[in-house]
Amino acid sequence: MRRNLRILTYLLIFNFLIVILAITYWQVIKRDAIYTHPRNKRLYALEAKTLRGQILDREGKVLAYSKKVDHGYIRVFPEGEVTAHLVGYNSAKYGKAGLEYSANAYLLGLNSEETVFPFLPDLQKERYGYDVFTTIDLPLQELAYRLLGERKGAVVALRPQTGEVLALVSKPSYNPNEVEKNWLFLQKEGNGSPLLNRATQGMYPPGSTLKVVTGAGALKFNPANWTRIFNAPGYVIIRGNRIDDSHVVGKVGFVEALQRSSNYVFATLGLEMGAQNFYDIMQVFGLTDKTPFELPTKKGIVAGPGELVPEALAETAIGQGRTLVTPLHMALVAATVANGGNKVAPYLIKEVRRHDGTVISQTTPAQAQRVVSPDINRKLVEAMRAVVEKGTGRPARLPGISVAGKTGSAENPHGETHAWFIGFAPVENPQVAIAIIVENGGTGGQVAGPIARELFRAVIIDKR
Amino acid sequence: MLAVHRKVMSLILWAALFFGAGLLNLWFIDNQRWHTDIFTYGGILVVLLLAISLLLARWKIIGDPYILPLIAMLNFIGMLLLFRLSPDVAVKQFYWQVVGLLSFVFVIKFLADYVRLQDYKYVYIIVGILLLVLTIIFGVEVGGAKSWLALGPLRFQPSEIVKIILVVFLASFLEEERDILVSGSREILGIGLPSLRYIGPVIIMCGLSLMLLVFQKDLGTALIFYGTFLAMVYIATGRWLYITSGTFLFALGAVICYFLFFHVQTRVAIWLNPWQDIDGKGYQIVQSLFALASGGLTGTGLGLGNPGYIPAVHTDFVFSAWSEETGMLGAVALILLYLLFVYRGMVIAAKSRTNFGILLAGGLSALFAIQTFVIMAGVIKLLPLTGVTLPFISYGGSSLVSSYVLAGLLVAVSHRDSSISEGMLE
Repeated sequence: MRRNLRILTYLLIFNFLIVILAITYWQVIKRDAIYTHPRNKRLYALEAKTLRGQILDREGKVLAYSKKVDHGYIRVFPEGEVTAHLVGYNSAKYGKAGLEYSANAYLLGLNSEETVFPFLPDLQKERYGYDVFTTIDLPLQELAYRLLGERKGAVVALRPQTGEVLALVSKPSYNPNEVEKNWLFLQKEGNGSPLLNRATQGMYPPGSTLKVVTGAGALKFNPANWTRIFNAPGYVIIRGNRIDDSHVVGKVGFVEALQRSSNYVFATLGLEMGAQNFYDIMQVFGLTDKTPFELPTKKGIVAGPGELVPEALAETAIGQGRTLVTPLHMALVAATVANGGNKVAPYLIKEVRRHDGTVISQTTPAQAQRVVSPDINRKLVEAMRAVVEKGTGRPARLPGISVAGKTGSAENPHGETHAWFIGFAPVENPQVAIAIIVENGGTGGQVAGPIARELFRAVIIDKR
Repeated sequence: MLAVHRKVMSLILWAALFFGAGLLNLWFIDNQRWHTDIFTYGGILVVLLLAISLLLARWKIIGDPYILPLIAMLNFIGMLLLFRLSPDVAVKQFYWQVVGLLSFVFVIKFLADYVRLQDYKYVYIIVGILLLVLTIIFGVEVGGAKSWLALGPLRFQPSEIVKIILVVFLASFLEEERDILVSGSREILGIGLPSLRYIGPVIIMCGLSLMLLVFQKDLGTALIFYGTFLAMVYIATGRWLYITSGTFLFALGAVICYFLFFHVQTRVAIWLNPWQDIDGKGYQIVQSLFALASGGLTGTGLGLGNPGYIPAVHTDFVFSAWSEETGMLGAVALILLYLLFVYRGMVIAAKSRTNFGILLAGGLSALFAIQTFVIMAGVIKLLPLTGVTLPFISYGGSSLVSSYVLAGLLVAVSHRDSSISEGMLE
């Protein structure tokens, strides 16, 4: 029996060792991630005695700061509605959103010394948070906000080579300075969900803008598609399912098919490459995933290859069907083509600095990932350029500047089509890639195109 | 006074030094919230512990010299934590400490010849089952588990007492039937199996534990009962067959419960991903994880953290509170204290001259270890959370007194066996 006793003792000691391992896991290994979780109430106690850091645009214009008042600090958002969805709000009562939420650890100035000695913050009399410099170009942000007007929708603009987000607008917006006062209104259904960040979390059918992706897949699947001549009958019927295509009738090549947005051609190309190839190209463009980003994003809803029976595949290939993606997804598609077929990761935080100005961290753009070969990408650029020069994207034309793009008018159950435009400029040396959506706005080219034009103008011409 | 007793007293004094430093710490932080009362209560406790060690010396009790100092240390930690969390609760616990210490002395004095316990084994099982059944019928539900009996203003948890009764019963039962359990009375497929008469109690135990699980929704206690039972069967027989088949039966029962009862399903779901429902069912455990992470390696310092954010922090979640304020280093130190206690218990068992003594001390130590493991593992999300107490530290009268009785029995076993070897008895 004494031998049994010994074995049992080893077993029990083993259990305690596992507890020691687990406690080490929570208190040392996962410490930072959990401690800085914005839902940790302890951070509110810390916040009460910390001068919270500022949030600034790329030129150092202030987007959020804390002001000292009698009973602590209040948070001020000088740009109000214009930057609401990216900067977010900060309320003791209702929590945080946007960068106020996701950059909370920086704004509170939590650092590694305090990680090792958690009692340090308690010993300091006055604490300073860190300032967060974003990649946002405030004048461009303001312009995009104004151009959307009273319409619902979103604009995402980014630098294709680095992934720096220059503008991120969602409408309707809200005033982050008055969130507590207006909370009930903001929450109530039927008020257009102003708290929803449509740019990163709004789910929309991509409409014809997806033809860029389908086209990329088709050229990858069969390079001969580039020189092929299609004979479009004005409709396409797949297993009894008719898709109308009245704009494009007769003989067209690949470029003209994209330029005039032929449903027949892209449905046919989708069917030819098959469900698996189609799903693969969606995946490499990042449409099936959640885009990693500093703000919450959504996973694209894309039917799996098993669900894509021919009629569904044809519909999906032209951007209809059950596919839903965010404007950020589509902005990345534009940026990828602009960047020679290489996808970069979008980011919003450029730099973090201490109160005294010393730099704590700097974001280096992620390594770009090859999505399509340079050869295929050149062809996509050529076709997208034709879209703006002589096709559905003409409203985005800008004198003296070559613009590439694709329009979309996405059918949806809520009335008029959503107006889409994705594109970039200048073609030779892209400075900005954008995605624009105007909910129930009508035709993509007519409604979203002019917005794109003005944004391109601001970035390329006015900056000179 | 023997060297043994001097050792006990000096160890208690070292622990008291820690206790005093902790109380001073609280007093320095906020002498409004923690005024000089805490020193009075603390002082009385230290004096009481020293008096008890003197009393044991006078009675010539020469049991294991580490048990009492370990209890003292755990209690000091417990009192410090309770003072820190809620001085009112700590004062109540102080009175329970006195009751507990008295029961400790009582057990040692009157059960010094512990082998006599063996004679009444069927009385135990009847009393035990009766208490459990009474709880199921008349029990009051507290915090989701229906495991309390109310006698007027006093509430107590019968399962705390039944745990000890169970170990005493099993020790006597196994001691008697051991030979048959080891060899088996007939063979099936070349494996010796005892007949139903001998494994009957095994099945009863299985049922009893599952009953706890189903009727009282008390997963933690069920786990402790069953785990202790398997540990004792293993000590007695050394046969893995019983352990594996017992574990399998329990797992089977647990799986059936999972599919039958919604509350078990939610509990498992919370365990797997509490972050999904931070404001609802996952609240407690997420708050506990926040506390742990906020403590980090060195802790926030006693009285400087925010363990008050965790609901039920002074009963189920004391370990999280301790880990927040003393950090991983403090948490590991506490785990090692418990491990030392278990280790001493096992040494007492190994040194015992009688099979009954081995089984009793081994069983009690296993019980203590399993209970500590279950609650610690629960609050750090290693196991699903169950509302059992951390021995000697959590607030709760029944639990504290039963822990003292357990410790008293261990000292009694070690006393008798050391006395025999020194020729003082028989």
